[in-house]
Amino acid sequence: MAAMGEAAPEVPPGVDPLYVAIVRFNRRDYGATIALCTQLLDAQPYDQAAWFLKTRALTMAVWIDDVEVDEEGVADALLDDNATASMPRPGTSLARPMTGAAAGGVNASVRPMSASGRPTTGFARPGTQSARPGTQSRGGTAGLAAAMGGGRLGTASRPMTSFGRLVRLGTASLAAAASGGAGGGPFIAVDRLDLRKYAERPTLARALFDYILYHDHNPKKALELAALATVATDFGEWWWKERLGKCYFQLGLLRDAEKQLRSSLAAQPTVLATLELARVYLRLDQPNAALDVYAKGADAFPHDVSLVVGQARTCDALNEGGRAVALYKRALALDATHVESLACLAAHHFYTDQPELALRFFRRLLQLGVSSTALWNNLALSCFYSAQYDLCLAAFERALALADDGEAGDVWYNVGQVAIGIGDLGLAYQAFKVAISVDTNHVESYANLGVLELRKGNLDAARANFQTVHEMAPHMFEPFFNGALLAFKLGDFQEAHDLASKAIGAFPEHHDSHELLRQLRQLFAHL
Amino acid sequence: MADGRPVIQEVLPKAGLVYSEKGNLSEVLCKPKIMPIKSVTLEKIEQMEANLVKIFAQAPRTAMPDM
Repeated sequence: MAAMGEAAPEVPPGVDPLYVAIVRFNRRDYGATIALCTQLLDAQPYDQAAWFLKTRALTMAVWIDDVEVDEEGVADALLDDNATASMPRPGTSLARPMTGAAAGGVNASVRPMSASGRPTTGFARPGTQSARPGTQSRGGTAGLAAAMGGGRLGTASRPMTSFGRLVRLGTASLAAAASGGAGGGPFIAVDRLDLRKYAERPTLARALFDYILYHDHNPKKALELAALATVATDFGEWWWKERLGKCYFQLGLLRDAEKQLRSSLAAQPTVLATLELARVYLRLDQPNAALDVYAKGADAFPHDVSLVVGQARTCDALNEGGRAVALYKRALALDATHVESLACLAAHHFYTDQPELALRFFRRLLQLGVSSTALWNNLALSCFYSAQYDLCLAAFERALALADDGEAGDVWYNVGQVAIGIGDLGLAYQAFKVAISVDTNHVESYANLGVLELRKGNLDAARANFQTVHEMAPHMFEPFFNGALLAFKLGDFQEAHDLASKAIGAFPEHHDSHELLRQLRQLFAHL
Repeated sequence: MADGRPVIQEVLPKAGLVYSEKGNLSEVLCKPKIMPIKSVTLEKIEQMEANLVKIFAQAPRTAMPDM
């Protein structure tokens, strides 16, 4: 996108400009390639080589790995007509992940949970940000609210359909073309093309297809081209079948996508088609079928990391933490620089009381060149909990220096945690206050602030803080339990009972909540 | 005792390490939060969306031609 409107580079005398363009393209300098090709096309509009190269460059400039974009829209999530059972057995559906330690899952008292009832992950992909509604058997309006909201509380970023995010990006491409493109319009007016003519020319058709799908994000038109091209190749080309599957998937025709991808895999097993097929099953909410596809693919391509990581992600989504960790380790054995595996293993070790190991993983990430707020923040936390206090605050300073508004709240919250750890409650109080001022929906800060207010003896402020969290984050058990305890100490037993029951609803194995309920029941029996 | 062997006294501790005590219930804090590392795709999408916002901010709001 930054590629648009760039000046064409100087072409040395005696060198073919097209050659320079090709070299620039190979160096991924797409802006220069586009500018050179535009010049060539201005001189000779029917130069096929220049047209091809410009199409490729425009596509690659805005290319995103769409296998990674796994976002369910509101419409898909709520009006899911592919669901096979309304109350599936645990472990067979993404809407009903395994719970408890039986599956190697994690304990909510040591690892914070996301709004979807899963442990927080160490790695964020486009799909991990939004919770799938209907988990934790919260039906009705709560499910609707969860579907409308984004992954972070208070950010309503979920698009209406799964295709919505891509439509936004398509608008972005169009806007960029309108503002900076040659002639003030799009390079290829797809609606005016005779697709039948292009379908006959295999090389041009492929470039054009990728342009329509990745630059314009117009799967309907792309599907038309792919269908014509498949006919032109006598239904024998696996590449076109795989792309047909992709189009069908984007259009939400999942069973058609499955058919095309299976046909493509039968003609020519490829990693990409395997990943796409597994994605279709995940969208159909059949995680075990997806795992099957991944496993078969991993047999055919034993050295491919993405298939192993795909299995690990699916296990993570099913709350089978133990299996996921083993798979992430296998992925790292195949590719020692795999960022996602490193991040997930680091988070796993941090929350299983091994901050030293987590620190090693995070340090490795730093060596690999990842430098972000999240990483510095995680380094700081790992340093603190593995008793390397000298590095901790320096790392937090870096994290804060890099942070934007969306992230600073989390960093200040963690600073508050460390302050509590060293007993500096004044600093902790201030840090939580800053976190809330940066991000007014930072529920964890409200919850901890409530506890600090309680220590100070400000009972009303504490209760107000707890109540704020009860409304904003019903998936967290801590504020419910703290509120119950406060009510219990103040003698409001009915409220204590209500809140403790809610705490158990959020975290069924919480021992202290059960103990509080037991005491309350004894009291009620006496009355 | 009658056979003169030493007698070992049974000790049942009421407090300490061996004895399992139920502590008083106290408030729990939320846990420290490991922030997720963003994937390359996510970063690229976010950057593209930010660019879009910028482009729309620059674009003229009305259809009136410049005078």
